[in-house]
Amino acid sequence: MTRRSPTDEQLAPIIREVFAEMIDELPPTRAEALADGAELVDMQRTSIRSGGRIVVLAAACLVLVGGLALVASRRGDDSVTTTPLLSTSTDEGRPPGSAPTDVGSVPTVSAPPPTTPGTEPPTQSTLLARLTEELGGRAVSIVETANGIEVRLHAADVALAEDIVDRYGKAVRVVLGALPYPPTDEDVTCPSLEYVGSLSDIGIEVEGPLPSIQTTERDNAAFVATVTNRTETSVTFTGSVGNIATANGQLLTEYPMIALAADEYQIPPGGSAQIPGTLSLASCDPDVGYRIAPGNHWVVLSFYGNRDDPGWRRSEPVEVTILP
Amino acid sequence: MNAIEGTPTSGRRATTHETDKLWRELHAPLRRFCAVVIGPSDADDLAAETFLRCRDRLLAGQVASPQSYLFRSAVHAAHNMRRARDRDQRRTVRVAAPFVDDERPELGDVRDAVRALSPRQRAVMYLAYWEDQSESQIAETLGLHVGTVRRHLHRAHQHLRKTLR
Repeated sequence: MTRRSPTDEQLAPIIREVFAEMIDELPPTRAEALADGAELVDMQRTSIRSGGRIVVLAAACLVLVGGLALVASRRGDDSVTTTPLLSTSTDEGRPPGSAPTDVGSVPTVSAPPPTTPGTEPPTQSTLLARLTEELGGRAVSIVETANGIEVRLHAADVALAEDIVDRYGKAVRVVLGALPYPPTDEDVTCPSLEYVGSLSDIGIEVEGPLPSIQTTERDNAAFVATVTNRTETSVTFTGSVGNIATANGQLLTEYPMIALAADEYQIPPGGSAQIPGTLSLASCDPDVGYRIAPGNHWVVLSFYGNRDDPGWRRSEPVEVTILP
Repeated sequence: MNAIEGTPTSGRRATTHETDKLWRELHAPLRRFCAVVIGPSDADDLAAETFLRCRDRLLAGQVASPQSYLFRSAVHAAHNMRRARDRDQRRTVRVAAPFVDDERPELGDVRDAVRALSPRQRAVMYLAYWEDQSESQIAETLGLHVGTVRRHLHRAHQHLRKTLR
């Protein structure tokens, strides 16, 4: 314990109170938003004829009603601090359709080229610092790897990717979404979770089609799935992610990094629950392009079990409409 | 820029499964720490960026104390974020008209005072007052000398006392 003077002892409770406030101000996860005043409103359900078959479009939007609950966090209690559901962006912490918090606040990329004739090329750490300053919140990550500096951008940032390649050439490896930019012969495979089985194995059914998914210029988008428990015992999930897939379940997009841990959802016997999650629109299939285009797609959802029954289980593909 | 801590040395890309497991273990304390060091609105970005930087080395088993390693890296990243923001703010100030806030609340507001501390001072204060760590424990967590910790605590206290007068 740090020894403190009487004045420090007077300060201590005030400082703790300020820290508690700062922690309490952490943005709530989607699950908390849903639990405290948000509701899922079915906006429209229309049938259209498409290619000889009826496709039901269920467009829904998540309406946040009232204020969002602050994270109820107590000192030293890990259990009450919930998970930020997304990698380096905070897309799912905002209402769908709202602007990303950091876009536009980043300084314009206008640094001089890293090398000029007759001068020494910058060291890797100098380059790293320069890129970090230039790109700010626009990059998903900027890391120094064993093979040099790698900048990962959102799949929609094609112009920025082009600009970086133009100015830095091979000194910087650019990854656009999940694929290298410009395209290379590199063998790319969609990463897979380690599945312990399917959701249908344990009597869980995902209602399709999913409510339409609103996107931003970020890679990740939020979904809400209605999940029904067909068994006579309750089932608990503690994680949910989605992948755009083909009709036969072959994955076309990567997993949203770090978005994998979520809150706890208990589905009573014979009951249903709405489970929010995150999916990435960054394609890991070069034939699809860098980013999944708006329109009708298939999605595979994966839910993580709990301490007693750990592991990921995946759904059959269900239909979803990706809105622009 | 001290971002070398995130250098992957394992020579392979971490699998989603491994990343998931690691994030589940470490995210809660890291997120709280970031909320204090950078502020609540940027905490998730800082936590995620820190985690991405450190992930490969953590997964390669090269780190004795993952939480301490993440905290240290978060302080560095917070410092860089803040510097970038300050530069951006200075540019904005240069083009904007001077702004005089007549309704500014009392300067003796301790909240403002804490928020005005540097990321490293906030980190030291957090570990001292929230995690009840001793000076030597703080030094170990943040990879600093005990004397440096003492100096940061002293300066932070001085700053707070001044605003509380």
